[in-house]
Amino acid sequence: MDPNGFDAYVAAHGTPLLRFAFLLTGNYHLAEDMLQEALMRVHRRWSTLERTDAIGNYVRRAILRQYLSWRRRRSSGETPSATAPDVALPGSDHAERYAERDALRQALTALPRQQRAVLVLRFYEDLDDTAIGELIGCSPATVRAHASRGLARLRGTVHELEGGRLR
Amino acid sequence: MNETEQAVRTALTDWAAEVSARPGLAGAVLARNTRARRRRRALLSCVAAVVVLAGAGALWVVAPWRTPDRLVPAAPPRPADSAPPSPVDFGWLPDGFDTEQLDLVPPGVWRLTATSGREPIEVTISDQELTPTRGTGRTGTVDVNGVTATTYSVPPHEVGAPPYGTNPPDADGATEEITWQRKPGQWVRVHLHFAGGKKPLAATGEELLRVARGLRDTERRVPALVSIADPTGLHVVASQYDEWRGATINLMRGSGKVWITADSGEKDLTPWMIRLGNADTITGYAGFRDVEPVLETRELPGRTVLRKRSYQALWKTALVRFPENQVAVVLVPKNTSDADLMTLASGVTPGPDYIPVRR
Repeated sequence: MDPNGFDAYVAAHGTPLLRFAFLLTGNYHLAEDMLQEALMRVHRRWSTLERTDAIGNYVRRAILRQYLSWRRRRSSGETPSATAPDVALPGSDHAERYAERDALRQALTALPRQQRAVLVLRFYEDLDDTAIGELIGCSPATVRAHASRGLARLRGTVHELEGGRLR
Repeated sequence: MNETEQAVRTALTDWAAEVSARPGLAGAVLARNTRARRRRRALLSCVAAVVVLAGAGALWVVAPWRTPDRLVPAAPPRPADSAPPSPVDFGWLPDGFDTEQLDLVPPGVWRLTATSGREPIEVTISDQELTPTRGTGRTGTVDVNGVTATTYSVPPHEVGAPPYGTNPPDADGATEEITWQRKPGQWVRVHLHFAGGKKPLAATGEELLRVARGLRDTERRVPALVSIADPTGLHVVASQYDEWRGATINLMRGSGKVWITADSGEKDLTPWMIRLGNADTITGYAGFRDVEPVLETRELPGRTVLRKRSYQALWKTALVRFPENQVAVVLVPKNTSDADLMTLASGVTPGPDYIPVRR
């Protein structure tokens, strides 16, 4: 495998990028779809791209652009999404841990896309506000505003978890 | 770092760790690139063929040997498994808005969309009155072919900046909207919104007005996403396609209600429904998971029909597996007999306009 080739790049960076897309969408298949779309663009320009960390930012920006510009969720009104009873019984330690983890994830999932993107970039990718602003196309002040609002929404969930009063 | 930030960091790290490496990702990207190139070539070939056929058709229409009283065959009756056509079609669109789609959205509203790759221009056509949006934006009026329409406008602005509040969609970015009664019993809304903060919309308000004025009274067929060999008195009341989720078809018997009300007071769609999409994403739908036992299997040419136990209060389900990892989930009301469920599911196949959902 050519160490500077596209295959080598994907082998080295594919999983972190997939995880990044997954944290944005919360859905493995959508994440992979977005990542493939972004990598497809990289592949078309591979011969002209600089072999630097900038490729990673290019892919992240492409993923973010897809994520932030998704057409408004088509309101089909469909609701048959309830699942069968889980194996773990309510009240067991396993069930409680699962429920706590799930509550925070659901709260993250319910955030507006810009806020969620900012939180993922700040707390998972460890980027500062300037770098986040460059990636999503806004000022550091706007990034701070998104982060502040997102965290405020999540704060209630965290407090409920710590008080053992999951709702 | 405070406790909330630490909890978010931990949650994100744990969540990400659940995603393992995807073997063959580079190969999948290359294959996708190849498919995209083929699609572009096929599209160009189709356009060329349409141009040739249109030319030939025009010659035929004006041909001197044609008698003026030639009988024109009546349009065939619409099959029960197809959705009613939209009474309106696009007339003019801004440059670049060349990807069009038509869905019939519950409870019987057509949604025409055209996109240039970013936010789509959406045209909603309804036989019920459409109420103009009221929010933090500016409301006005405009003339659309002699009819006064209501406009709603939010200019590009920083996300969450005053006076546009903190609630989406106004807080997220710009909106342009025109709503009017186009004719008796027909309300139309032309809408464009981009959650892009200060970034401008993909089309201007003037262009949107030209789209509104250019709408034509031409029937447009809703894509045939699912074929049903034996609809048993059902007819399609909604038909939608999404490149990730696939096709969603809602059916109804007679003139009953599209919506039902669950015990919780929430409104659900009538449970006659077919979801057709990629097996990897769809099998978790409607509680249709591997933990639920198979009660009946029917092998048919090109497909396998499975009836599985359903834990749902309102409906029961069958699964139809097709080649290319495509699968249909068929939902029917709980009081439907197992035989009727299997008859309906056995007749379900992808329609001629269905594009298999990629992963």
